[in-house]
Amino acid sequence: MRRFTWLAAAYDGLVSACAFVVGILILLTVVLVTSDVVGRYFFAAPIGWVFEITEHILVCVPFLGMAWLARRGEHVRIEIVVQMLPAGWHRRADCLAHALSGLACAIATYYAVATTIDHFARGIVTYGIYPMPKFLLIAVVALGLGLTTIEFFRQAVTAFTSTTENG
Amino acid sequence: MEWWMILLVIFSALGVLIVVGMPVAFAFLGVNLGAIYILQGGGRAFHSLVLSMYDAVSSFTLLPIALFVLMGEILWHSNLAFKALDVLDKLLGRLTGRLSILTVATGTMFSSLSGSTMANTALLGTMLLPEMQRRGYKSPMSIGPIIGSGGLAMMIPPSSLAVILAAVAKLSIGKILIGALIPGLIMAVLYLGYIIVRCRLQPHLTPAYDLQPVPLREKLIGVVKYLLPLGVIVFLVTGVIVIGVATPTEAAALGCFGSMVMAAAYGGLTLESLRKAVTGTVQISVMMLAILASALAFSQVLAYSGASRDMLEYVLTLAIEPLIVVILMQLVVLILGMFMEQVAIMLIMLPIYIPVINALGLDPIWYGVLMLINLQMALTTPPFGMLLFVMKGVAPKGTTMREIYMAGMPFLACDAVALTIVLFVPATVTFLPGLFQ
Repeated sequence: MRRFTWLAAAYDGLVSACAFVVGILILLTVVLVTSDVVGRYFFAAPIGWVFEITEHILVCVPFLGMAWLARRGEHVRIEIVVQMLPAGWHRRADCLAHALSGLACAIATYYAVATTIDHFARGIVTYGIYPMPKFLLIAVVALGLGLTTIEFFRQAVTAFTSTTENG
Repeated sequence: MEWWMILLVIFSALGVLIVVGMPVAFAFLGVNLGAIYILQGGGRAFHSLVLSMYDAVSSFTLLPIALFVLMGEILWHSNLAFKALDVLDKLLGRLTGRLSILTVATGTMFSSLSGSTMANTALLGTMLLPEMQRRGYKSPMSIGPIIGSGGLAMMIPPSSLAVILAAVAKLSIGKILIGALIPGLIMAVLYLGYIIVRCRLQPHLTPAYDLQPVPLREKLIGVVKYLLPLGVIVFLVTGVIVIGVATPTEAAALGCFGSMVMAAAYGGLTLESLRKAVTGTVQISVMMLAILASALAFSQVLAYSGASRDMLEYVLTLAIEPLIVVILMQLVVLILGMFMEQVAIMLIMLPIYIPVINALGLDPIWYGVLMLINLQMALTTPPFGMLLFVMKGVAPKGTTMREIYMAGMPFLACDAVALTIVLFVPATVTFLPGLFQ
């Protein structure tokens, strides 16, 4: 049991760390893009890699932040029907929604991992002036989806436990 | 299978997943997975889904979604917004319903500095509602103007949702941002007109109160110290796009940088304020981009099924005026807006609507702005408009949802008038982008 507590704490720490990285990356884009514009207009010296690195950062933003947002329950949901249900059925619907979300993420994670391995094996690189191995970026997609899968299944289990305890 | 049958199956599946309470982003993901399995037999096609999710967000043009929100969050948490409001307050002087007018003026100003409707509404609610209630303002003239003006952030550039709309519809982000400016200002003027007329007719809604006279010198100092620098940020964001110095993404970065420099210069950029601003930005950006990650795959699924092409052919055979088609499309968006979130509506409807608009020979920029107004209305349409709930969150205890609904209704009517004006006078949208091509 203690091992699970340790694992849960490690998982929570990883999810929070990913969200922290997203925040830093967003601030970094401000600095990078501003420097590029200033460099281009005032010093005739644009920074060539800003465009590409910004696009890579944009891949990280939703995928690294996805599990954190799911943990906070802040992904956009339409709760019109669910809110009209009695408390017990509300919990059951929550359990179903979390389980279905977890299932969708699990399938997507499986294929994201497969695509990562495939890109690694084929040595595919990104387009641009400074190509980089594309599997690194697809791995971010896989990591984000994987963490979100765990988060949704964890919430589904919590909702299920609450349903069995409270009806 | 007939095109309508395919659309029915896809949208029914999406509807069921959303109704059971799945987050919109993952409901789209689920439908994409199911449709790919049925239409393409899974296998390698699932790899394409992963790559499509990657491609959907890996675009330089999407960066303003995060940065326009960050700008607003910085100005809010660094208290710069409060100082600017104080200056506007002093400038207004004695007017009937002055705090309601101040709300619209402040809301319009902050809309030109922030891309987030939620942040704008929360900001106005936090800053102005307590004062309005203390002065005895009734909810139609306190809560109403905040709901209306809060939503202006969706229209007046910079607007994160306008960037998403342009990205999903594959339109020029700069043209959509600039094209939405005049309709946004029309809405603000309509709000002001309504407030002035209603206050004249029912003065008890906004009781007059004594004002300490403010010397002209103090007013001028306030303008120079707090409003003019904000004007520089507006120029950094909107001005540089208009004069063609920077792309919308570069303008967003410049605006953010300007906001940070200004917040630091006025002593408001503490580690705590930066942490709050970045947390708010991460929350909204991840929320929007996560939904957007499924957008490309969803439109690809619709294209692969052939349903959107067949539907387009069907619409073109109908002997209906293009304007009637546009009105019918807007009605569908309006109804969806009562129950659904904006980005989801864009993702569902735009892959179907934009080809129809192009085939009918109508201006897609004009249509995009029409849709933006409609989606802005959705934010304040009962029973589930998001801003209504943001308002409930910042309103004093005891404020009922019914009170909020009723207060927002006249402003919704103003939006409908603006929508009608833009519908019949497309130049309100096309004039500015045409001028600065």
